[in-house]
Amino acid sequence: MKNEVISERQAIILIVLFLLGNSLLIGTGNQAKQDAWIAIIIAMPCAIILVLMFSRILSLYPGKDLFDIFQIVMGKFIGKILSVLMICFFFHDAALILKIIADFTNTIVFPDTPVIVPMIFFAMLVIWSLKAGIEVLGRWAEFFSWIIVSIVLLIPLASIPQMDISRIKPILSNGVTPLLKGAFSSFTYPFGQTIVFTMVFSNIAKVKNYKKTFIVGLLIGGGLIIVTVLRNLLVLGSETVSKLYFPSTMAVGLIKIGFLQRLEITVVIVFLVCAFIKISVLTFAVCNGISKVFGFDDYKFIATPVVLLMLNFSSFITQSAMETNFWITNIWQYYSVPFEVIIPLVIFIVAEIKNRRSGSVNLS
Amino acid sequence: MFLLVIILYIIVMFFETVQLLKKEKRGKILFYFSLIIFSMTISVLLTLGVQLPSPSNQIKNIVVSMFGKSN
Repeated sequence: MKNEVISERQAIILIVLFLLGNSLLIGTGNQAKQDAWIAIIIAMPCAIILVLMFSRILSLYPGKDLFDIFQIVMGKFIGKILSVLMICFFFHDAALILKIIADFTNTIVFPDTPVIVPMIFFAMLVIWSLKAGIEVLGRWAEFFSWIIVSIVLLIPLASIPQMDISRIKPILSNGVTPLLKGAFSSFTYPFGQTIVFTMVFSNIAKVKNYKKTFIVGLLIGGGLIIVTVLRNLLVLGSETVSKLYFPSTMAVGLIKIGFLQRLEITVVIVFLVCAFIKISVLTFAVCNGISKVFGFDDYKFIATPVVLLMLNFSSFITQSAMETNFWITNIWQYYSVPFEVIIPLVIFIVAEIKNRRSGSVNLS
Repeated sequence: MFLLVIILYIIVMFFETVQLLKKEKRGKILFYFSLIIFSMTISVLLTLGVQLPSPSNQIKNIVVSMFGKSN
């Protein structure tokens, strides 16, 4: 990780595609029924505050990623324990996303193929991207970003004939509580997951622009998610959206303008690219963490066992698509708060106290 | 069937250790081997159809007991 440099633009693109991850397919804030788009709009300022905290932690210790900061701020022993906790969290996250890809592939893309076959190819690609390094991943993401962003912006235009504005009315008819629940859920997943970038960005070309990278990436990614969720709600209605596992597929399948029919392939392309980036970045963080905890200087040699272990875990981490859906809507939001909010908050407070103390010692 | 899994793992190990043995230290090779043999064990157990305990069940029990099955 020491000699690889990504430009600021590639970092923003990585954040955007990471946020689009599986939220384009599954949608976030579904607890708020037809106000899911308002829930995401509410969640974004909270996510911006969280991300400002991350960038402040990073700018206090320039050139070091979060695993190093754990060990500097809290001491070696507690730092290593915190690093192990975060590694397990990201590992679990990546295994869950692999499970979602497996379900999606098995249900919609290749229903008759044994699910292990496309997953092995996917795992090989992830291992390759790890061994190539994050620089290559940044360049790859930059190349694909135009295709993805144009698809995400143009396809909703094609489904305007099916949209019915009365499906999102009456606004706020369920009260404020589901809205707040949806905002909380959308705040932790996907916006809170940007903590993984604090472990990956130890080398950007211009160090002082962490804030801008995070905030611009968050705004663009959040905006694209809002467009997609709004399109799903307008085309399908909130009850259908809550019944389906993959609402975007059905929303795109309804498009019929002349010869433009059955455009679900675009959904598949967008999902696979974004999910690939999400898994690659998460696996980068896991391998980086493992090499820092055990004191190795290189993270690439551990790529194959980690990815294969993730693939194995994804087979039994949840038993069915129903259980995955239950996890994402009910449990994920509470389970990720200690890792995404509480641990960085503790590190932030301790780092600020240490900074003030050493600052005052230097002045006197 | 699980022989196929073991053979695939041995092929992967072969490719990677040739690269590792050229320049790396013993600690890395030991760690790599322990992780990949752990992964191979889990793969073989999954191929044989053994039901492995999933950590997400424990987390689900903890969260549901604290917050209830709402939403």
